[in-house]
Amino acid sequence: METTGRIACHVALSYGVTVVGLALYAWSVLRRIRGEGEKIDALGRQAGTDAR
Amino acid sequence: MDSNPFLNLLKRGSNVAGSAALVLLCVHLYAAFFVAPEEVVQGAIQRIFYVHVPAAVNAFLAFIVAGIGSVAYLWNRGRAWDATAVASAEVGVFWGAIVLITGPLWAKPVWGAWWTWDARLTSTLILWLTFVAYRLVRELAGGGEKGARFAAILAIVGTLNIPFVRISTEKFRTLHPGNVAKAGLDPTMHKVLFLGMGTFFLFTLFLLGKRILLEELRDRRLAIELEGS
Repeated sequence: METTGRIACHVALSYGVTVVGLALYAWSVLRRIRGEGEKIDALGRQAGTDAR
Repeated sequence: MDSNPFLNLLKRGSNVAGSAALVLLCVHLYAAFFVAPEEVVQGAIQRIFYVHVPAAVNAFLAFIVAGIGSVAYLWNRGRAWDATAVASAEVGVFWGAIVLITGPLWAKPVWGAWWTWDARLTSTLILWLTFVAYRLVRELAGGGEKGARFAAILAIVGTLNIPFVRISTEKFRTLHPGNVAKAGLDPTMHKVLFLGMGTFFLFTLFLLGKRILLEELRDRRLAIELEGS
């Protein structure tokens, strides 16, 4: 059996990876949504400029 | 993108699901460390179970939704089904990665090894790699319909592996613990486990809703670009 400290480290890593992973994944999805929104806005502005 | 009432509800409700999931995550973390009793044989390392099992259940759910979306896409070529499958496969790969990281972190102190090539671990890894390949096929195909069709077949094959993963601890000799429902868990442990499953399920709904919205925005941008060229 491993030492108490090493077991605590494994448990902390498991929860840490889960919580940080969730935060990073959610952030990446929201960032991609914002990126697409900005691209659509830019295309809309470009279309407006071309029309004028 | 053609849409349906369920997808619209999911997109609108994803913020509510995300907010509720954040609150429940705090409660779940507290319960996993301070409410659930310490397991007699394994000790503190057993607490990994409260993230590992809910992540696994949500990975399976997401892969099943990806499989259903893929069957429906091959059936009627509806883009909404394809978007659901893409979004769900990605969420499933995320939860699968959590399972494949937390599992070895639990296994090393208990089994003395990070990994064994037994039926449960190997079939889970194959399932995860199938959906990673699903993503790669779509990327390499450049978003075309041919790539979407190939990827859909891959998702269906991957989903067919889920029942095998589920029964692998019963039909094969494996180090992996069996079905938790039959394990005779302490009632408090059961409650904390179900709290974890519910919390992660709300995160799945949040991520799925946002990911489907991302697919819609991509389609809208591509349509504008096509119109302009």
